[in-house]
Amino acid sequence: MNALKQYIRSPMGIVGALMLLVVVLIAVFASWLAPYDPQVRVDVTPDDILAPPDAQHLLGRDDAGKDVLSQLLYGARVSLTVGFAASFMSMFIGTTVGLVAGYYGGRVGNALMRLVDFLMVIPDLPLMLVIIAVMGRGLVNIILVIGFLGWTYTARLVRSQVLSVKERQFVLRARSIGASSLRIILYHIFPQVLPLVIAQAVLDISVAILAESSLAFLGLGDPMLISWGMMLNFAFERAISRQAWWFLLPPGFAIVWVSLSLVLIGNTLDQIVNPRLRTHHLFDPRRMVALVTGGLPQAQAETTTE
Amino acid sequence: MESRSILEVHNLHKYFPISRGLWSALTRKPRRHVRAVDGVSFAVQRGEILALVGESGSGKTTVGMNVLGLQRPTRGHIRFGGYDVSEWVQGHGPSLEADDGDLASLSRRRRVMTLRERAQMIFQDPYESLNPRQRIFDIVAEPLAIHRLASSREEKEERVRAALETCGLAPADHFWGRFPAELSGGQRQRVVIAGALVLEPELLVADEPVSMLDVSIRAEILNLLHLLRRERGITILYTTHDLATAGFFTDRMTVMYLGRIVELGPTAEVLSEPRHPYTRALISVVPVPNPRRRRKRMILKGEIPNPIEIPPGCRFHPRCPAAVPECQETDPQLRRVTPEHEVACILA
Amino acid sequence: MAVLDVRNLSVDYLADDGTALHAVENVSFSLEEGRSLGLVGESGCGKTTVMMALLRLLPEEGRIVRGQVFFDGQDLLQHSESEMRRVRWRDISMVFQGAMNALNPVRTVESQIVEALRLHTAVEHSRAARERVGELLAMVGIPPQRGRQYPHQYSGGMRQRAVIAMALACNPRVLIADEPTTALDVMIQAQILELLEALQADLNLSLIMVTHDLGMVAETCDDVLVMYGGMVAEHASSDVIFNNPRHPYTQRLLEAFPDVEEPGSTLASIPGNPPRLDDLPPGCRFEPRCECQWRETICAQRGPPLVEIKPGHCVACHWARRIA
Repeated sequence: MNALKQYIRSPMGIVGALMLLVVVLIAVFASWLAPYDPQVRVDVTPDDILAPPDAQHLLGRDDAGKDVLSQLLYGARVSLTVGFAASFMSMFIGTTVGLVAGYYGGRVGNALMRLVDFLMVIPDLPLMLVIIAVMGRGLVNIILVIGFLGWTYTARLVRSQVLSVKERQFVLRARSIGASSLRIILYHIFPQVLPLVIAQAVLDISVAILAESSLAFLGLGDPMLISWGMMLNFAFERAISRQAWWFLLPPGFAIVWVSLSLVLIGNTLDQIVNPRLRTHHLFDPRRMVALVTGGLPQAQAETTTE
Repeated sequence: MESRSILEVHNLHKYFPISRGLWSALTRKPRRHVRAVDGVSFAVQRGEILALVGESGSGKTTVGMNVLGLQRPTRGHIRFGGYDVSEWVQGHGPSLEADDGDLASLSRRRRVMTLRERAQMIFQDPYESLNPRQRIFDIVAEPLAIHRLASSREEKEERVRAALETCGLAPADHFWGRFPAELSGGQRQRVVIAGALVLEPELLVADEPVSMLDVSIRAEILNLLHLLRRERGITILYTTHDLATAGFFTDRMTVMYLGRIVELGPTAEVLSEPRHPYTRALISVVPVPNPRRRRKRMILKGEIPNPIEIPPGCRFHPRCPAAVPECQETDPQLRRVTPEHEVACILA
Repeated sequence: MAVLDVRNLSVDYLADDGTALHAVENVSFSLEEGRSLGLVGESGCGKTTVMMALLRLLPEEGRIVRGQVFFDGQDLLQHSESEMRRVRWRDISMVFQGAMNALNPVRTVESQIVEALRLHTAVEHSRAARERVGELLAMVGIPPQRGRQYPHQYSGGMRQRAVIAMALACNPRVLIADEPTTALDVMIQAQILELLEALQADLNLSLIMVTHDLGMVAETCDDVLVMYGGMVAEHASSDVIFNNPRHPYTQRLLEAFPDVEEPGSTLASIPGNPPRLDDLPPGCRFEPRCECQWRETICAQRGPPLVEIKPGHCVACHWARRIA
């Protein structure tokens, strides 16, 4: 596919993809890779608490004497699960709302967009805190909350794209052959919107992971599972005074690593997918006019297709 | 209007409201409209090819859209095959004059579907009118799927093949696996026509079907349309701004200006003996492919006025080389000057 | 006197994988002072490429491989970029395809023409510049006070006039107009053509009109150059091209053109498609679609050279002398 070829040519995209691959592999193979099982109770002596790294514990031990490295590796699972699930939920809700609002317009469209505005205005984190506090802590709740607040941007993006796609002549043709609105939306408009949505969804995963980490950091994570945010939570409370950097740095680093990888991938996809000026004929007159009246041969920054 | 007409347009008006600012809304200023079509009436016989000729702002495309029920008329009626398109598209009750009593009992959706099976459109831009992500087979087969006209895969393939090959894309399987981007402009336009033909319509509205194609390919497409009329008796409504192509293959011609018909008659007659000053001017500026025949061109001054602000009286009078003072006051209606030829001009 | 003399101009485009696509090959023609030349061909034939090459405005992928472009005795292809800058707009100017839609929407028309003036002439005072702009607008039929307006306040025809005014700002000797009337209404097309004719006469301008519209060429051009598949098919005066064409492509093209004075006559079409640049025939590029009775194996084997069969009439066809 054309998009794939373009992706492969982007160094940024390759780096991002590799970085993400590392995290995915870690999450999948955590039980093989981790030297210890963080769920297993360990008998600890006071020396073991916040012990610095040594041969048996490459990243030292945490405040409960457990191996930091193992927790780090298992933490990847939570982050990725929340990230992908919440992002998928956002993408689904956002795309549906955007398609409906964009295609039908009128009162329905307006009402939906006002709802979007309303949700966008409310600060996310405080609202999430309140909702979690009410609903209770748990992985599913976290996913729901993040997904529920994350769809608004996608909705706006999809709606604006739908507004322009629905004016295109092949959509008119679909109407003229008798296609129902549902058919037009699913077969003709949605495929045009999908690439943008995917690019946005990848960036959304990054946002979701950061949101989960924030919630966990604030103490609202799932108490049964280890996540990087939770590690930061404990580290923040207990490790700083002891200068136990091995407990503090790794989860933070991991969060940055995964977010960065997703942003790199998402940006690359965005560049590939964003509709650019297209011309049938050979030259872009704007560039030419600028060239001639400016008199200087400027570096041709973007190539226009065909 | 005789009963042999397959299509009758009565006093069609289509206005598009212009959105106004908050201040105008608050002060209750009257809303302004773009009067795209401002009182158009004509009839088309079964198997006829009628040209709607006009420059931009003439309303020719809008007429086509309304005839197919893709837009709702602001005023006026459109009767196709005996039932009222304008009413049915708006979801109103059946027209009392419907020939076919059965149609009256159908739901609105079914009525629209019936209309779609019988009247189809060919679009101007072959690069834009095909979904770039659909393969040719699916593009041509989609109408069959929507109208559930093919019960099996084999039947679908049969009908798609027939449509593609009638349109000159043979062998069909050479083309149907491809995407639109792999075809040339002329080939894409043939796909559009095939997609319309697969429903076996009685009426085709061809909206400037060749203006975006190279000159050497235009004839193919126009010849194809001509063939469809000859062999299948399909009625064609052909909109264009190019008088020369209209002259090539149409039976009758209407000339439109700012939303009205100014002249209407058999093509050969209108081209050789134009009665309306606008038609005369238009014919005189059409380039002729021979420098030895450079004629005196009647180049009109100025531009076509904005359809929001239509000149009073005869809407052509500000640019008319033959205008007299009376033209500012009278809005001429179409009048017969010969049994087949009508003109809207007080001087004709 | 030939103001522009193009010889054997060849242009390649480099594809993504490095292969050279021969977009234009061995194009030769000359433009006489004060005359208008119509460069005719269908989409993809290379006509715009030729003009861009003349002005050395090809995109990065374009390479002028061969040829000479003599303007006033000097070969433009040997000029340095700074020397070309002195030629562009001042000696040879261009109205680009679609330029009327490429006007800067957030600046007044006047300011855009002033910018062109400032860049290419020594005009100092803004008052002198504005006066000149007023002159130019009047010359193209736009009331000078409308210079203060923005492009969106102009109609399509007026924008095209504005772009022509901009091209004439520095009193060029040659004006190249690429599809000056496409996308305009028939009547406005006639107005613009009339304007170009008048300008040509008043300013003793030499005009090159690049177009696919044969009719326009018949109405306004003195000489015609027909291009096909990147090469010249035929070159002669307008009268000869339309009344005695010798290249099969020219003949078929003329037959495909509907004549409003003879409605109902048959219209020909040329089967097939123009050649793809990555799949050019080894011999005559029109051969695959040629239905001429003289067509022979030599046509597919060897590309025909451009031969002057009569003074002022050049044809690139092995059988030119036999075809009537």
